[in-house]
Amino acid sequence: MIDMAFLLITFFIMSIRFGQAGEETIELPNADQAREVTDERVELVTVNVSGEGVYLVSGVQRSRAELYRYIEARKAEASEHRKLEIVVRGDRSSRFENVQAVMRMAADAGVTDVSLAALQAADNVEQR
Amino acid sequence: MAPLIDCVFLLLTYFLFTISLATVEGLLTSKLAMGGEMEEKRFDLKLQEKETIVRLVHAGESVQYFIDDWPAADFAAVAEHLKGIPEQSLVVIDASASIPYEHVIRLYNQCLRLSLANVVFPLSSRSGTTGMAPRL
Repeated sequence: MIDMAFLLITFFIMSIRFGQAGEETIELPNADQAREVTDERVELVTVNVSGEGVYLVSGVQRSRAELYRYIEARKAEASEHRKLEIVVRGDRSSRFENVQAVMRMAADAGVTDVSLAALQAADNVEQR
Repeated sequence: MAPLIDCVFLLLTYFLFTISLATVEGLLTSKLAMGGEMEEKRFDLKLQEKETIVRLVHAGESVQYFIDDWPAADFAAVAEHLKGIPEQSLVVIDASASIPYEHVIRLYNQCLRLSLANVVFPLSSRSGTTGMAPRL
């Protein structure tokens, strides 16, 4: 019995997803069409957009100008075989202009792949 | 031995409760179409089907939807209208700056649910007109 319990605890511990620094402050919107994408040929740059419009990349806060320079630099570093993709993790309450600004920066830096992160669940906009 | 098994069950109960609340994170993949490419796409699509522009603006505390400049009662009305659009049509999601992001995602998600593959967000960029559409 205790062996089974330990086995279950081990399973739960192993299945915990460890997030990046700063992720815990972002409350993602729900979208049941969101899919998990795992392509090793793609280099992901995750941009967290907080409800207050603060940009966080790898736990570091960046202004719009700094973020644009960062995306440009990463684009320049990306090889032909590993293309760059921007993942926008926007807080559900954030103003759309904050996310739109990241799309615009990506377009200006020549990055065509932009994905929007969401929780794989039915939408709950009305209930909030 | 009794305290140990108590602890184990306590941990097990904790994990069981937290795992049920955890939701998997996924991505709504999309591809930005740059300047001329976007205009070409719009032109081609215009020949086949008319584009549908869904505008989201703030009306006090709530969000008001407009479909091709006609006001829609609510999100359900927009979803119903989108059902009647051919899959090849171009859907333009034009949200004003102050709209909460979750409303835009909900609309985008609804388009993907209805297999509407050509969804664009107007972006005014230095390089001209840009838009984005789901990656097929």
